[in-house]
Amino acid sequence: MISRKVLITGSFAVGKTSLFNRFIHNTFSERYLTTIGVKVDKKEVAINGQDVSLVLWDIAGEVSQEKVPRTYFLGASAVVYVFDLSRPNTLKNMEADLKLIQKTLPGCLIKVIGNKKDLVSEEELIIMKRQIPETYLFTSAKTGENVEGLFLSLGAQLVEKKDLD
Amino acid sequence: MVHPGQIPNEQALLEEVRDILLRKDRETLQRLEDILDQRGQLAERVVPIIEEQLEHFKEHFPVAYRHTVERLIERKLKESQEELLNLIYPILGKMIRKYIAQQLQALRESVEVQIKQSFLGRLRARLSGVRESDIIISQAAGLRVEEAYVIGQHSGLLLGSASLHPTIDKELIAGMLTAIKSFVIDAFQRGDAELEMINYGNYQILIQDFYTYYIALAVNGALTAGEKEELSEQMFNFADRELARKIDPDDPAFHLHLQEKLRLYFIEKTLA
Repeated sequence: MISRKVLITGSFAVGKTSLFNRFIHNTFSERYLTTIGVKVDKKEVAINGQDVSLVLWDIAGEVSQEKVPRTYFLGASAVVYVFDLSRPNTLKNMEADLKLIQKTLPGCLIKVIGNKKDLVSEEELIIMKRQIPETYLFTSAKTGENVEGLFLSLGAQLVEKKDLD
Repeated sequence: MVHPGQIPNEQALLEEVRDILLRKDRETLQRLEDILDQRGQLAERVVPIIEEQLEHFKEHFPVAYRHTVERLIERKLKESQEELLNLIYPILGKMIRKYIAQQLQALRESVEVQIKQSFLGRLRARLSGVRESDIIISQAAGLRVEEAYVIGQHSGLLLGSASLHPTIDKELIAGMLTAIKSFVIDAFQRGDAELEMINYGNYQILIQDFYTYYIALAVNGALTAGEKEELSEQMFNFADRELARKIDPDDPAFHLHLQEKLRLYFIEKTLA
């Protein structure tokens, strides 16, 4: 079993916690998110016979906000950056946020997720896909679409990275 | 060989001339072969030369290879920075703690003398009929380390744990504890100060920071300053003996080793 710290972050109300809740069984109360600004949970996935424990840190608030303790980011192997497909302005800070993450966590694996897929039409999705890199994944925390896949691919990439190291 | 009266054969003559001319060289060659074939003789000749060269090497090594060695050491130090700090941290910590403990002991002794001599101290002992030391011992009864963790300093990932009773997932405890610790440090911004203890009711979590990890002990029972000191000392000893090395968080054998050692050091040990 290998363990890796994974951060879930992004703009306000993009469905970070819903994504988190879709994937894991909650151990701690969500009150922690409003008290200390983070909630930790975990999900174990098996990747080609290798058990991976993803210790997920759901961080309240935005990356660029000063009130989010920088130390929450330290030691993370991967970051899931979430934006809301139905609110394009949630992409506004992404570039600066990703730069800050890369600076704080050099070499860290970053996954960008467009959430709330269920709220946009197929046409809107096609337009959106033309504007953003192919590696971005679209999910719906509401229907569960691509959520399990997101964390499985994350686990696989982390195992691959470990093997390369 | 040509004898007198014989017509010298040209070939034999040539052979004789070659023999005369090369005799000395052949003898020299034979001597050299003998030397090379016999280990003792060879050693007799070669060893002094090697020794002389070694002596020369020893004398000139610092000058000729200083920069190369310096570069090698520098590189090794950079590569093993974490390992070195893990090694040094507990030792330095112990030295500092020892000094502070000595100073505190001196202060405590002086305060105790004054209390004993004071009217209040004598009155308290007389009224209760119990000595101060006995009160302290009775308060300490039931004191127990119930859980022990070694946790990655920033990642909050669990490196090892042991507990007296079953608890919720230990990886989650390690993560949340690290989050709380980070929150306190960021929120109050007291420079290099670290969170050392969390209290609730009769339960305390003692935290001791090291370079790449920290140790947390969950203690049930009222903890006196002396007991806190003792546990702190135990944590430093534990780090010095079990964690002063390169830590591989992905090694399952390392996790098992830590689990066993944490159990022996803290869970099965009762405080003096």
